[in-house]
Amino acid sequence: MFENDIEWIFPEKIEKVYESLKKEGSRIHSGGLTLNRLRPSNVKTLIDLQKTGLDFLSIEQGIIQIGPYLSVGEFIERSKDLKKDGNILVFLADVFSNAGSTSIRNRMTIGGSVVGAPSWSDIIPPLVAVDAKIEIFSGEKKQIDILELINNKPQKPFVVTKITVKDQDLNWFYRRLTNVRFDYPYMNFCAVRSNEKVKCVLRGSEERIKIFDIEEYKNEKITFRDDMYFSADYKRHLLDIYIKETKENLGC
Amino acid sequence: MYKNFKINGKKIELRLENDSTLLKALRDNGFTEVKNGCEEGQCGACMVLIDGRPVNSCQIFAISVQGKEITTVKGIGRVGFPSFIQEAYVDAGAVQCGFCTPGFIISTYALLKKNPNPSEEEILEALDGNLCRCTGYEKILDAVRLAAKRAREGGRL
Amino acid sequence: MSFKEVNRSVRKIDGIGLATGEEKFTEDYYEKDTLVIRLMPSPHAYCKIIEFDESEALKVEGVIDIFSFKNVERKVFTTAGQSYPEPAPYDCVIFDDVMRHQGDKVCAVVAIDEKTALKAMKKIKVKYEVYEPLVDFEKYDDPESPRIHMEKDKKQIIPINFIPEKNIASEVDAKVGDVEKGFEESDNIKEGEVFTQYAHHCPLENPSCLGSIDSRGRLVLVTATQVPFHVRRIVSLATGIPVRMIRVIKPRIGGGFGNKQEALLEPIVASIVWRLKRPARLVLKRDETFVFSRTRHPFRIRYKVGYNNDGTINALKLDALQNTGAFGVHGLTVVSCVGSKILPLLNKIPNLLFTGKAVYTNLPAGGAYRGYGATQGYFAYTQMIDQICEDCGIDQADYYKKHCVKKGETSPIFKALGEGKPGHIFTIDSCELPQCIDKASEDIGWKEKKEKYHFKNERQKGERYLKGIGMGCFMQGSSVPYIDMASVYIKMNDDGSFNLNMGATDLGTGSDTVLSQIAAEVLEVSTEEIIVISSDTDVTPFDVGAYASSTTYLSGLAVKDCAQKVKKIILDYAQSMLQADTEELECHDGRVFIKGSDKNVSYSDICTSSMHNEDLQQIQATGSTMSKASPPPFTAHFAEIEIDTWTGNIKVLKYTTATDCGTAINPKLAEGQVEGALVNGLSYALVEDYKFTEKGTMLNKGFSRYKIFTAKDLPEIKTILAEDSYDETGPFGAKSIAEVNINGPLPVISNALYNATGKRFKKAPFTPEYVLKVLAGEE
Repeated sequence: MFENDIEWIFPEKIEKVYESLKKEGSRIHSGGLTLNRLRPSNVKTLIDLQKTGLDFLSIEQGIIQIGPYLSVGEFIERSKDLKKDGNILVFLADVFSNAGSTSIRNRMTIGGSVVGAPSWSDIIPPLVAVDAKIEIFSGEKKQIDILELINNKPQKPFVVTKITVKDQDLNWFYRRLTNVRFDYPYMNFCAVRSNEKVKCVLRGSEERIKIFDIEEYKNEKITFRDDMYFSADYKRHLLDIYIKETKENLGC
Repeated sequence: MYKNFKINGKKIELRLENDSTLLKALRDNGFTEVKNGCEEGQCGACMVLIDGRPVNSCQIFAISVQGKEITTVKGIGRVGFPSFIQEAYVDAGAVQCGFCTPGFIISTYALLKKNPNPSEEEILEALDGNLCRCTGYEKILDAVRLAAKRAREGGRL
Repeated sequence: MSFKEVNRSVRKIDGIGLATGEEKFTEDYYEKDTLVIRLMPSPHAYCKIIEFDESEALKVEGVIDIFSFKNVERKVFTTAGQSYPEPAPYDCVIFDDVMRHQGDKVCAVVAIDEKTALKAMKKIKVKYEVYEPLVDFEKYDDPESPRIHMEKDKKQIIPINFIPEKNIASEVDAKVGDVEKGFEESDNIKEGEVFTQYAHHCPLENPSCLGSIDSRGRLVLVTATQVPFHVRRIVSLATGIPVRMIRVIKPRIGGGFGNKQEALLEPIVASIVWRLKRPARLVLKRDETFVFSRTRHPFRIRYKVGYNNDGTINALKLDALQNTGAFGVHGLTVVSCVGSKILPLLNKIPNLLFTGKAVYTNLPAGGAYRGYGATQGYFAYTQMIDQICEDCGIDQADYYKKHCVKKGETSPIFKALGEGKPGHIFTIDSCELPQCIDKASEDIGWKEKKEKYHFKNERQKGERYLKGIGMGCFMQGSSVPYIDMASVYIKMNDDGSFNLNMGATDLGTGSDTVLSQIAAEVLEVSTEEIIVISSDTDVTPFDVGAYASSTTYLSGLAVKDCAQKVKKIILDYAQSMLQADTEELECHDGRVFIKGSDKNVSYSDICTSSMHNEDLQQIQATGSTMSKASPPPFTAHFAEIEIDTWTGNIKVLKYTTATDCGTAINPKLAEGQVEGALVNGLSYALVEDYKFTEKGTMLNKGFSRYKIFTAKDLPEIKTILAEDSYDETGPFGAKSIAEVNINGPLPVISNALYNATGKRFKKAPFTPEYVLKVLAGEE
């Protein structure tokens, strides 16, 4: 429950979303999962994206265009129809299908995951691995790197309007550390290989997100913290195994 | 305040607050077939269909799904007119305490509507957000297989 | 034996109602004017309230009242839902000024809705004196450990060795023969120690209770309980409301597994509703249930065993130390079951010494949980048997077949270990364990795989993935002899149908269906002719409730007894209507026939006649049965696993169980009990655990972090029910089935781990990290 009486608005235009967002206490409501969990006390207005048309998925000139309001579940489903056109979609759908459960994925939006960047996300690592670009609107449209969004979230109000990924041929390897299958990962690891390079993306170390080339991997450079289930030592040990498996699986 | 919703094919006014979850809004207005198991989106007892997709109603603000088609388990079938899916659950011995059952039936309905011939893998995938502590899931999996068979034999969804 | 209605998988009578969401659970009964009760949790594991100021909170609009130690009379009682006198210390009060675990209730806020209650809670000003909590149960008697229940009013009402000065909630021992002499005579002696963890039942329905005052001024509690009659008694004791003024109704229950064998919420709701005279409900949130409702007790179990080179055990010493948490509820009986549900399995061990202690800590209280101590005890016992077999080069399956208790035999433990008093001797009337072992071992390929996977076998060395196979055998009981009682009432209706009113409590298990089948079998009608009402203290006769695997067996006997009485009256009527001797009569298809002829009279005509024409009376009877034996169900478990020696992950590939439950009254529901218990046991063995801070705060409350198995986590499961098992003492040969199968997974997986690696795994759960530590020799 929120402390304030909430006002809901359902704008159709991005500009309107942006204008409304400038008001104090305004927040974007996408799938609502994070808002429901956190119920931030200062929220007064919720700007719902459902009428903005931001739930598209297409491929244009080798670029995958993902609407931020698209649910992960719908992404996985629609990507089946499009997969002949884009290898990246197969990759993303494969990794995304680890996230939450069917019913959670039906509410979890890709934009919400990117902006909220929860510590257990199954959505962020694969998008980082393929250098997703995020188009944001804050008075004007601007494209930024997904890492920039995660690490230096813009201070002023902004709306994510599109997520784009360049289609490319790649092989991938994904691992997540959980107790059971439907669980939030305490650590997750995504490696992609296109051409000769293998890029690794790790969540769950002390760095929010750790990116490295597999050739430059040094276990001791990465620091971990104990969590309630898994010790830092175990996660460190596991990362070594992930790297070894990546090399076997991706042939390097 | 009161707001209009479409539930189980009917227009209905719900008494709710602006920040009510769909779960609370439904239960407060008599839709007690939607169960409250955890309010964390983890157990699936509160599942409903929104435009045909299973979601956890505890994780949704009711206001955000106004105008969408909301289906509870009673929209799938009722005593006297049960759906063949509900019958399959009973026939397979998949209903023990029955608290999780409405959620499982929602998941099964959504699965079979899309795909009346699901693989074992697809069945498990479809049930991945539903917890049951009574059955050990074996009889539930039997029920889904049985319902799928009945769907292929012409069961109406 | 050939049956018509029992031993048949009829549809669960509430199945469609549940599958359509039309059946109602406690939480579904509330109306718009029902007040909401929320409990304020203690922020500390051990503290005393030194200032409590609710004045600001009471000013919040919509707050009705706040209940605490300041305004609710202090009466000691136990929340344990057991027969009177309870073998549990009276160490609970409705509201106390001392908080004994994090999440303990400070007070209850009653408001028009949840939002208001929470808003008001924030305005309650409480000052605590915070004490260092006792979180390590092995230190219960250390001089520096706090003594948790020193108030003068705390007491025991029967001797259970409640010693608060030592933090002992209760203590028990049992002795057979002379263990020291037995050890001296043995070729080998082995000792071992295992630890088990906290776990929660996780019924999908949270504990909930709704109270109201009816038009006659009586208190009506609709509540999610396994023990409606115990609840009525305990509420009366705790609140002073006379029993005659209390009605307890159990609607559909969303699973219990022991969690709801406790009068936990009802005394709180009763005291509030009785004073306010307004309806109010208390429903725990999922995260609250983990700390505020009861749990599975953690244990340290030690054994010392003396055996000869041929595997024969001469002497066994078993010591169970139980962390009962903040309250001693079920402490004694759970610790007793470590001995009483295990030691009779291999009944010919001549010298036994069992010692058990339930000790207090400032952690969540343990309680009843499916398996009830046997689950924890078998972890030690089954490993021990495995160890003996490995040492002596005997096949485990053969060992159990040779040494297990047989039909016609008994065990001195039945007498030596009761529940808070000595037990009763009885003879085992059925045991198909050898059949179970044969069938399950054949299904999984035990003998070949055991050799193939054995760690001494060079082929597996150096490989990342190791396979292993393990087995174990388990028993439980069916009710508690001379303590448990069940009663029923049956009346006949003029269409030949019957009302069956009984105290027995269906908490989702299907007992309403199973007991209807038993009535139908006796009355020779179809199960559909039986109309059930169960568990309403105003309407149905007494039953102890659903626990101790007693319902099918004991309530089933009461139903059978009652139905036989009704049938006799029916036959008396038929005799005069047909002008024939009773011996000449037989019933089928809802009619009474003269044997070998077509001459008959329908049940409908008999009942109509009894109501309107001849010798006017209601055809009806009551039945009441006490338990005189507790025939154990038996089960053989086999698991094939694969260990990832790099990550420590254990994957259970296949799990086979074969269970002897006597006659399965409803085979599909019986299998459901097996599989439900098994999967709960697997989840417990591999992932479930409570994580605490060093100050005793639980970190993983709620389903987001306390994870249980979903369908995706299952191994291949094979469920076998033994054939031709018939226990003469039970209804149509039935014994229990609910609990026994939860005992298997933890020890059986540990034995499979040994088979694969040669290491003993002694701490549950077997997390990947723990597995690696054991493999590396660090544990």
